Amino acid sequence: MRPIFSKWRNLVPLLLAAALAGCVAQPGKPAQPAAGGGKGTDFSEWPCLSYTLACGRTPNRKPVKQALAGPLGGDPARGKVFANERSKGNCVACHLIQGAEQPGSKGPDLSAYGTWDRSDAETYALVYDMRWRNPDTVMPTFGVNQILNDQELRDVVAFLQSSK
Amino acid sequence: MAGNHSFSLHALALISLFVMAAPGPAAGAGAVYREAYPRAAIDPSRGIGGAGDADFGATLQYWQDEKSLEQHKQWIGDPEHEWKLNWKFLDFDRTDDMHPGYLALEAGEKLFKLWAKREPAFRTCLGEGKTDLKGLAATYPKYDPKLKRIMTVEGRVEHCAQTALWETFKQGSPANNQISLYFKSLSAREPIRVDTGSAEIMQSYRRGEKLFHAKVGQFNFSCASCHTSSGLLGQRFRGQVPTTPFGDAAHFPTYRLALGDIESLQQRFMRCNLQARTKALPPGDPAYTDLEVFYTVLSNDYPVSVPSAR
Amino acid sequence: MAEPMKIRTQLSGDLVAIKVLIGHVMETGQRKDPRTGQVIPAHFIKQLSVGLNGKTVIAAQWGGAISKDPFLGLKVKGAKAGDKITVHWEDSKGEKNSAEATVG
Repeated sequence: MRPIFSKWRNLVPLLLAAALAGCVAQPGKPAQPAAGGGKGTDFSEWPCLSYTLACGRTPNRKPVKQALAGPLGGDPARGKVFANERSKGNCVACHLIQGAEQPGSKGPDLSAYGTWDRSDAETYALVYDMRWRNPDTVMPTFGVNQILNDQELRDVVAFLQSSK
Repeated sequence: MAGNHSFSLHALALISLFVMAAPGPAAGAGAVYREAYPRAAIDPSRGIGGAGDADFGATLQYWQDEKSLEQHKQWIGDPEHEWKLNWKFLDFDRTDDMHPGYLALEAGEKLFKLWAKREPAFRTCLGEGKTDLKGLAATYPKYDPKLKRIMTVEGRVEHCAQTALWETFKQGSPANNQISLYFKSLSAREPIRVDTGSAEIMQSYRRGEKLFHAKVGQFNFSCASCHTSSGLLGQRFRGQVPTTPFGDAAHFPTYRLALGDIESLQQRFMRCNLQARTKALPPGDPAYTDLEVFYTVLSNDYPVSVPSAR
Repeated sequence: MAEPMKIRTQLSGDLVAIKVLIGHVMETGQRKDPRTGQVIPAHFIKQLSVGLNGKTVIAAQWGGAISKDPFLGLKVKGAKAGDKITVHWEDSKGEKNSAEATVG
């Protein structure tokens, strides 16, 4: 056992630093959840490629395994719209889903997701942020980056679970 | 936390593991957490040859020259296979066909000759001392030791217009695009020869390579997310199929059917960023210039193909 | 107003492939200027004709659905080297243009 950890109180600054590092790295979340990109946004609050602008130093938001609070309460009909809508989830861009026109071929076929026997909590956590499952994923972080708000996410999960 | 004896070493180890497991450059003290898409192995000295790698779709064999395109022309219009031709069949300069890019070319020629007649220094500035501009554009981007920065074709036109004509032909403007198109057309069919022996070019290339893999924007996309095989290259992405970045720089500035106008490479970066919900930078931005160097090195030895349509 | 027009011809046997590239803004009249919010007035080619040795081979009525800088391709039978191709158009503002080419 290394000498520095022989006294428990020596751990405190390390733990505090670890906890604070997590807090500082996350940018402050806006008051209302942003629903998609929308018109008039120039996306300067997200990381960018610039060497000089502030967004060039904006950190990426870290992977999060988001717990599902309470019962799902999602509407599958609305979820189907969000999943096929370009300004919303746009899941159809990469996945084959029900109701898809010109589906993508990168992500797994989700048209029978309801038969996969996955829990609402797991599905929610994956749509929220796929990175905790696959760090190299191409899938956008719909929850962490507020592409969909909480209710929209629940609706999409409900749609997936009803896709049989 | 003080006095919480049950907080074990295991928990601390888990926290540090989680922080380190996140992909991207190792964070030193004070470093910003930035993610990067896994690095694809590219050898800049191979130029266009890298397009034959599996990481980038391995499609070079289908579009590397006229013969290959001719052999696979039955793929044109076939959504399953068309993308493998890397859209090179739209390089109408090969078939001497017509598209509105030629109108822009004529406008660019007229504009250039008009200004060069009024002020011969405009021509010699573009020619870096020479009056014959043939073949020069194929060596861009290049490092200018006098100005101490990387110059793209559009940047050179902007600079020469400023210094020789006292005119502003801003990068991305119609005047700049037209003259750049004309200047580049004087190198049509010439193989691109960015000088990978130059230290400044290679530094810019490395920076551009880093930008290519950096995850940005609301979607956390990097260029690599769509333009490498482990990403979306070769996959249907809502009705379209992303293709390899190799060979792309050869046909810019290009006539864009969707825009009804010609577009420079950095304008395309700007538009790509916008579509990927990332802050778009203005054409001429140093980050885009580094990306352009990276892109053009990936097209080394491939012939300049302007004016083309996309 | 001299909008550019390019004509190319390719003869094989007695069939000539004619390609015409016309520079024209082809404004539909449905677009709004993003800065002023005003509708950009319509300005598009309404009539177009292609003639072979003076005889009209195509008479077209175009509208706003034709895109900017239109490209027209057609094949005409019964042509020979030296024949004269004429292209003439008139737009919604009354502007006109014509161009000629000889079948090579």
